[in-house]
Formats: sequence, structure tokens, C-alpha cells
Amino acid sequence: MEHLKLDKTKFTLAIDFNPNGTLEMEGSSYPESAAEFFAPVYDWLNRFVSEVGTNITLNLRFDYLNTSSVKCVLNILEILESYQENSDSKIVINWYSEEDDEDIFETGEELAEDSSLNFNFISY
Amino acid sequence: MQKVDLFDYYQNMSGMNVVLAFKGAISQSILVGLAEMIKEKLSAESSQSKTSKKIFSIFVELAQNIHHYSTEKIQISEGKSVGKGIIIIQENESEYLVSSGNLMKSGNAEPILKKCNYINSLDSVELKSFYKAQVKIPRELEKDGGGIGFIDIARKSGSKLDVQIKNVDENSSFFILSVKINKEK
Repeated sequence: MEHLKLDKTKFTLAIDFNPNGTLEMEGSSYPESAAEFFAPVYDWLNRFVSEVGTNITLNLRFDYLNTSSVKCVLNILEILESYQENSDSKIVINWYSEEDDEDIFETGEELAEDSSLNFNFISY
Repeated sequence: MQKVDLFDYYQNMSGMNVVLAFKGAISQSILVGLAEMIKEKLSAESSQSKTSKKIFSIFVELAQNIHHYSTEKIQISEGKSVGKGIIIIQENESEYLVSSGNLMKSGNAEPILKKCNYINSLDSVELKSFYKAQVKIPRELEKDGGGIGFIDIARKSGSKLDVQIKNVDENSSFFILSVKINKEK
């Protein structure tokens, strides 16, 4: 399967999804249409879990997520939850946040509270 | 056409502590430009780094609401239209006030007012629960705005949503939303 790479812009995330299972998302997300931006991301992920299916490490380094983007991140977590339920693969979510960024930390904390996935919270 | 007395305008706005004002079509590029400027301007004051993140966030949500939901639109290309409205940021020694205004369908006034009053009735624990419930609803099912964005604005500002709806004509109303953000001590 191919690598999914999207360059960072002022208002969209850098995406680096490696078919070896290391997935990275970084930056600020407030595009005009989050659904449009994330469509290829969902698409790649759905194909990855059905075609390749290794362990996954999802590294998330968000500076800002508008509310539409938070919904999209939730959709991604749901794809991974379903994958975890239906396979023996291990999934780890590393949620990074800057020391003084309580908003991003809280967003991660709240998503983790309602998720069956394994979250690590790392501040830098 | 009568010319605006710009000095008068400027004095009035300065007197009202307006630090940023934009009226017009809120395209993505305008939104990004203003948001980046807010990030830069506010981060110059190192004591307000948490506050500047909140203002940035609230500004983006308000501006995107105008972009998507204002009924006053311009067509910028084939099938693509952009909402028009107004956003103002006021600042004094102790707080910021961020306000936005846009035209809306009069029929949506009551449901939106109801939503905002409901949000204002919740404490922070209840707001968190409400946010979590709403975040699961797909965006396509959110009717005409007044969704999760408002909850997020209320949570980030830590203050009540100050909503006013002014009747314009039988079909249109003008929707105004203001929130106060206290400066860090």
C-alpha cells in the first residue's frame, strides 16, 4: 500500500501515514470543509485496516482543531476502534500537547474518556 | 454615495476599544489571514498565551459560522458561495469581547435562541457532557448552525453566550453573538 503524505498548510494538517503502521498527524486544522480534507484520510485508513492490518501507532501533535475537525478525529478513532475489535492488532494513540496548551490536552482527554483505545498523553 | 467620515469612524471605534473589525465576505483566505494575525498579535503579549489561544479558537468558530450560515452571500466561483457578516474584537485592561453578526432566516431565530439559552443554562460539567453528546452527531445532520460550535465557544470563553436577534424584514433577522474572555492575571 502506498504512503499517504499531505503537506502542512496554515489551516490543514501534515499527514504522514506509513503502511508499516506508524501514522502521524500534526498541525492546525480549520479548513473550509473538514469533511473534504479528511475524506482521503478515512479512505486510506479503511483500506489499510482491511488490506494490511498491522499494529498501529498514531502520533497526534495538534496545535488547533476547529469543531468540525474534532468530529473528523473522532471518526478516525472510531475506524481504529472497530479495527481493534475485529483483529488481534495493537493500537496505541500518542496524544502530544504543548505544556501550556490545556485546550488540546482537554480535547484529547475527552476523546480518550469515551474511547476503548489506549491513549498516552505526552507534554512537551 | 455619501463618503464615510473615516476619522469619525476611527475615533468611534477607538473609543469603543475596537482592536480588530472586519465587515464583508468571510472567505477562507480572509479568515486565515485574520486568525493568523490574532495569533501573532496576541502572542506578543507573553502573559496572555492561554488567552490568545482561546481568542483564536473563538474567532475561527465565529468566522466559520458566518462563512457557512450567513444568508447574505456572494458567489465566488461555480457553486461556491461565501457568507458575509461582521466580526469585532474589543480589548481593555481586563478582558476581550468578541462579537459577530450576520443575516439569517427569521424562521431559524427561535431554534437558535433556544439552543443558546440551553447552553447558557448548563454548568461546566453539564456543558462537557453536552459537548461530548453533540460531537458524535455527523455534521450533515446539524441543522442550520447553532451546533457544537456554540458549545465550544461557551466552554472556551468560560462565559455566557450573549445572543441578540434583530428583526430585519419578514424573512430576515440579524444574529449577533458576543462573548467575553477574561485576561490572565
